[in-house]
Amino acid sequence: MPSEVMTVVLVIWFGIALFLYRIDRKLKKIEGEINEL
Amino acid sequence: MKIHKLVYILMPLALYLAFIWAPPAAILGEASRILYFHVPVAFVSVIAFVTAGIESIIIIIQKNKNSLLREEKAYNATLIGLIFSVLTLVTGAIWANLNWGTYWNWDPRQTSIVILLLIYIAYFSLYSALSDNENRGKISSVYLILAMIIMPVFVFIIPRVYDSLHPDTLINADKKMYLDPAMKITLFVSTAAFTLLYFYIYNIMNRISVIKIKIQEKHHAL
Repeated sequence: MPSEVMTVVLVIWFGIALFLYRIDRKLKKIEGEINEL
Repeated sequence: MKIHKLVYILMPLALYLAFIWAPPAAILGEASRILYFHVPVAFVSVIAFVTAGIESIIIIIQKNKNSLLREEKAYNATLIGLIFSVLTLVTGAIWANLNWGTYWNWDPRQTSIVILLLIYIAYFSLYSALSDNENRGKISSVYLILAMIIMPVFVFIIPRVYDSLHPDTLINADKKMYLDPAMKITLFVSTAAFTLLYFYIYNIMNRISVIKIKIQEKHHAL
C-alpha cells in the first residue's frame, strides 16, 4: 500500500518538477531578452 | 547551481524515505506517514508568513525608497504561505478522518489555523482593494506585520492552551522529540525538501515580479 501511494505522489511530484523546470528555463530566456533591450 | 535546485533530488529521496524506509508508527500505523508532509508544509507556511513580515518591515523602514519590488516579494511570500497553510489543513483533515473518524471536528488546532487563513485571505482583499491608492504598499505592509505578530498566537499558543485531540507537538513540553531515529531523519529530509521547494517557488515568483516591473517601467518610459 505505501509503495502504491508513493508511486502516485512521485508522479505528481514529477509533474510539478517539470512545470518548475520549464518555467525556470523560460524565465532565463525572458530575462536575457529584457536585459538586451 | 543554486542551492534550491537540490529540491529535484531531495524531494524524491524524501518520498522514498517517507513511504518505504521509515517504519510506521506503533499505534497510528501507516496513516502516521502523513506526518512527513503535514509537519513540513506547516513549517514552510510559517517561514513564508515570516518572510512576508520581514519584507514588510523593510518597506516601512525604507520610507523614501521605491518599494514596489519588496511589495511584490511580500505578496508572493504570503501567497505561498497561504497555499501551504491550506495544504496543512488538508493533510491534517485527511489524518483526522483516518484517526478521529471525521475530517472536521472544530478542534482548537483546526479552528486556529482557519482563523489564521482568514486573516491572510483578508490581506489579499485589502491589497486588491487598494490598487489605486498610492499608499497601498505601506498599508498592506502594516497589515502583514500585524498578521506576523498575531500568527504565533494561532500556531503555537492557542493549541497549547486549550485541550486538543491533536497529537503532542514534535518538540513537546519536555523539549524532547519522541521519534524513532529513522522517522526523525525522514522528517528532517522532508522538511529540508519542502523548505527548498518554498525557496525555489519564491525565487521564480520574484523573478516574474522583476520582469513585470521592468516591463512596466519600459512602458512608462515610452
